[in-house]
Amino acid sequence: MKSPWILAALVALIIGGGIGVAIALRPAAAPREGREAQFVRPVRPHFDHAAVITGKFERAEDVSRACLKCHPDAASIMKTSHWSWVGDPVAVPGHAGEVRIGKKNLINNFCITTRGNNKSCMKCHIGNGWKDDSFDFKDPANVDCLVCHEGSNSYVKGDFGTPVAGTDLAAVARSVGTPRRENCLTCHAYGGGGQGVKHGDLDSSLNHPLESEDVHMGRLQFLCVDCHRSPDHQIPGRAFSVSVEDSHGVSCTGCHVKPAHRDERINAHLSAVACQTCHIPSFAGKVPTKATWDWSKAGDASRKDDVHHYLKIKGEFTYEQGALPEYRWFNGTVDRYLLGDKLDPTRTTVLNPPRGSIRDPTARIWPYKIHLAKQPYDTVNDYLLPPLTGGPGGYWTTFDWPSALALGAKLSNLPFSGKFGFAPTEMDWPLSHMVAPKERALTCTDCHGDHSRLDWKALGYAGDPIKIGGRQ
Amino acid sequence: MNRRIRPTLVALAVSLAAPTLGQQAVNPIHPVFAPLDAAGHPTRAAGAISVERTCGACHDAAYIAAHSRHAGPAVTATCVQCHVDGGALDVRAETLDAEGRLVRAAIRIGAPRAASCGRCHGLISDGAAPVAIPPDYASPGGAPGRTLSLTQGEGAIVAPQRMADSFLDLQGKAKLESPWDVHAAKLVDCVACHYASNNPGRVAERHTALRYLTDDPRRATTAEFLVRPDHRFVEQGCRSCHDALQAHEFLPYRSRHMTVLACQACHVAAPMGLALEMVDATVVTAAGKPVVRYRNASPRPGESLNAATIRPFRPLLVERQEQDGVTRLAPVNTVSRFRWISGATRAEVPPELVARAYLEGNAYAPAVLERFDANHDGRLEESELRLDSRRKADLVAGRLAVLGVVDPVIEGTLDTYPLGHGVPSRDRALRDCSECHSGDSRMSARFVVAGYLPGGTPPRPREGSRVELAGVLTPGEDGSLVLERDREAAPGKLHVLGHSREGLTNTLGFALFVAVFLGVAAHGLVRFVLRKARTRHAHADGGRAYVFGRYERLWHWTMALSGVLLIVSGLEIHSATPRWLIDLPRAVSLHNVFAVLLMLNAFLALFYHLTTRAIRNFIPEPHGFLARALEHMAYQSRGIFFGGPHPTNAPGHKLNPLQQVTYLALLNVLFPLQIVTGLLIWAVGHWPDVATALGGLHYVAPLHNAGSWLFLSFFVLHVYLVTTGRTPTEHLESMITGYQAVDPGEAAPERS
Repeated sequence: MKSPWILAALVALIIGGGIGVAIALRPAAAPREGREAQFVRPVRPHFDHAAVITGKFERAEDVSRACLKCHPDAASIMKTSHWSWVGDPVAVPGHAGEVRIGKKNLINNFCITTRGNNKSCMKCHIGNGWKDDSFDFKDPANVDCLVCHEGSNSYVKGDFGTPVAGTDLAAVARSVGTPRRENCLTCHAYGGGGQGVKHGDLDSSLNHPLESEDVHMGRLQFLCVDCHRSPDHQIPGRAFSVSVEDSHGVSCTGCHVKPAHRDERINAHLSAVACQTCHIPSFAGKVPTKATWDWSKAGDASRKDDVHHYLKIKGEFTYEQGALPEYRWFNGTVDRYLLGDKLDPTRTTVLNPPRGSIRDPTARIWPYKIHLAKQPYDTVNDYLLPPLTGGPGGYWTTFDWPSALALGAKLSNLPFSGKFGFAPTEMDWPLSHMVAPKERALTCTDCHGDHSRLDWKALGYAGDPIKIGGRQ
Repeated sequence: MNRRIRPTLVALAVSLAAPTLGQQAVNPIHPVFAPLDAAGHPTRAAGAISVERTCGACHDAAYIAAHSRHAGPAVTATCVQCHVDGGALDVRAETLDAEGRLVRAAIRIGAPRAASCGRCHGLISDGAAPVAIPPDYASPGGAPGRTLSLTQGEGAIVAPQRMADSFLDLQGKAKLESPWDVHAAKLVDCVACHYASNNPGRVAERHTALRYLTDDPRRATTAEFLVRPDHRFVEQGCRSCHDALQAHEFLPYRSRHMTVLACQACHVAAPMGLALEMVDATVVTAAGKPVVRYRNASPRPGESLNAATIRPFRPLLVERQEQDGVTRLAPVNTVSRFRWISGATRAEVPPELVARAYLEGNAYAPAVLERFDANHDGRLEESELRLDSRRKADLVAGRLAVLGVVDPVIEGTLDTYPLGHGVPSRDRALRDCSECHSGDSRMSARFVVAGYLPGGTPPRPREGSRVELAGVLTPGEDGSLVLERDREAAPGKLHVLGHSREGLTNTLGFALFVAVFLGVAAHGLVRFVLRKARTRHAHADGGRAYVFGRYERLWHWTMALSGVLLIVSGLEIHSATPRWLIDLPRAVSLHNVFAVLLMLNAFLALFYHLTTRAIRNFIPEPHGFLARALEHMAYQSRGIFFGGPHPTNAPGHKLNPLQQVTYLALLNVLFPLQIVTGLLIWAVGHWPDVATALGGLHYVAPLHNAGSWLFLSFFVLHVYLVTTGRTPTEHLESMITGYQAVDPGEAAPERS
């Protein structure tokens, strides 16, 4: 008796092959749905520390020591700028040699400088009590683990970065876990002395954003650390307010390896236009962001204090909401104004001008929040002056510019002529957060045609490239 | 500094202010000129300017007027209305120089922009303002010729804005991410398709009749063109820019679809602009306006049109001659319009007069109110304000006669608007095959022509229309007038798979199938009832013979399974009801692949049978054929029930005479028929010329369908006869194992 199984297998093979061919020839299916899901990283539940943290803590340093008992490697954060507030040595264009720059020694467009203003500024340093130069940067116990890892929402850093009085350190320590959005935003949304002062694309609305405001966090439930992934505490990401180059940064293309737009005409833009340009159509959608800051108006006791318009200690502000970005060429590096650099007080001094132009093939058009200010400068030496603001003798207590500037200049080892004025300054903030869902991305008419949001002439084009062609 | 967007303020500004136009750029080339008055003298007074004189100083105004559809008796658009920003020259003391010439900065003259066209033709913009419906939309006034027909007739809104961002209340708005018009969104403006027909920069027409010349470079120079631009604008169709065959990879029968369908059939399949269904000017509202019914919205009384929910509507698919002269199926909307005319002159009764027949002051005349107000609430609802009875019509006719109208009668006309504009992004294009390839097909869906018939007057299609409304205008149950079309056919004699039915072949084929099914069922039932009466044959008596070789069984089962899959996928394609296993493209793909497989299998089997002696099994032995055939028939109708002996086949033949006849017919008639018709159906999808020669699928598809029913009938019969062995599964087993039990003394059939 011949076994029919071989025969059956053969028939099955033929029919199966036919069905296979039919499926292969089947007309192209509808576009794949949920493609973005492949980028979503699962957040694993963190080990519940309540079981292992049983002791009582008198001081914040005690908590750090307890952490280090089990996580000795965590001290590697001390190699990073989160701790040192300066980066690796880097050549700053227009300046000799390599320098280490960062929050510690740079001038910005807001509270101007941290030096001498430790009482307030160090609320956002990941240390326990950086009062002055005597702070021990070598002692791992001085690192404040809690500010990034606590999950109780009850931890607030006070003067010089030490926890405010009355903090239940044990309870906070028991709550530690993966940094949540709130942990990062507690500093990064409040830089410059208040919410939305510095970044236009980072504010407390990102704690729980709608999907129309931030597609990664609102629609796909990302955490900050899903993009700013930090093996060994080496948290990637660059802010061009304190960095001059983008190594160790985070970019869209880190995940979106091949930005495949369905329309080839859009893909043709990629060499000249950053992802952010189309995908961040506007910024500060919910929380207004500071657009201008005029220090020269400070000290007027007759004016009413109002955090969004005028403060006697800080001067006059304007804020904007749902703002359209401005657009600049940017190749990932910026120039930087360093302390002591000469300026022309009749022109606006840009503290961190982006580098790149239409002729720079590595540059692309980026969206920017532009912040304008008026800052004190030495009218004899022609450089910006870092005033002492908080603390004894600071401007915020004396409202006396000459003494505050003299104290601040001394702290920064800058000669002060005693004569000062106010010069216009600018800081340029490239936008990368608050990426809108693709339905809200810019379309052709946003940039091309009669109602363009781009100033083609200013960008170096002879006219609208839809008519005259793009750069070669 | 950065500008701000204030969405709420923008919306507010739109609702309160008249739509403002974006500024046209200063024209750096247009010469500076002095505005002239009617006498041809320079003037500094804006009101005294004569456009003909001013523009006519350089451009040939007479030629342009004679070559323009915008300068007719009904429409008199001036140069500046279309070519100048804001529709008027900016003549002020500051914009005129010492010699009375307009300064360069005030010369904002150029090709017409979206806003200029939109002023008369509909909701058209290039993105300056969110889309909103103007307050006078229901009865547009203003400039002569301001009909807004693009939106009112076609339901088209031309704007780059995303639908979800517009000012309108749209059904499912949050998900409408498409722009209103994908061309506007990509900066293809009105004049990109509608340009002057002698524009040397655009004219691509061949000026030659000589076949060996591909182009004729002789055409008007730019200067000549600027003096005498021919304003009979080109109406470019989709195909002048798009090569549809280079896209649509997903679409089966791509070239066939492109040949018979206008692009808009799929790409303007669900218009979201507020389109008209009927305008009834035989009555007037309390505001003195005609009653307007919309195709895709039902605004409540007093509701702003911007707040009325607009639904997408299913347009009517009709045959239409397109711009390239080819007739294709294209979507249209119809608008029926009813008005009073004077029976003597056929002249329309002026709307003011109709209003006076109804209204006295600001209210309805008491006589009108008494006759119309059915529920006596003192107001006329929409359902009351219509001439749906003789008495109402007579009353109004009488009142019009009193006002001096001679023999007032009601006239209805039916306008057809091909949907050509407002093309959304491809995500909104039809992609569901069953929209056409199903029983509930767009091809023959009912289409309401008028919600009711004023005075019982059916609207007459307008003469000279490029559109053929195939179908019958039928009164609906609710008093409406509906265009009814054959439920199983499609316009233009198209055969639409899954929708069209050829009654004759389909019914006959199905009848045959049912007859065979009932026949074998009855036969089987009798066998079952009489099973005790039969003496059983022992199996072991004659031993077992090897009758079906390996290859025979292989081709048989391959053929069987291919056939089943062809029948199933064929039924899926044919099915008008929602498909139960796989969708249409998959079914077509499966059907095609297994048709090829079956043909290959048949060819190899034929080769096998021809090269071996096995073919003899299929060829009847002529000697004694009739007797054996009769013997077999007798057995099947009698002996089989009572266990009579199975008649013997001709010596050396595996098949009995009846099988031989059946297989001869199957292999020589049905197989070729199905293969040829099937190949032709496939060819129709791939070569438009073949399709045209065959008249599409109109003849071929029903033949293939008839063949399928025959196949299905054969299949039923064949499966039944398999059970007629000594035991019900004996034949099945032999086709699986190859061995068959033989009666003692019976010669084993020759194994091939």
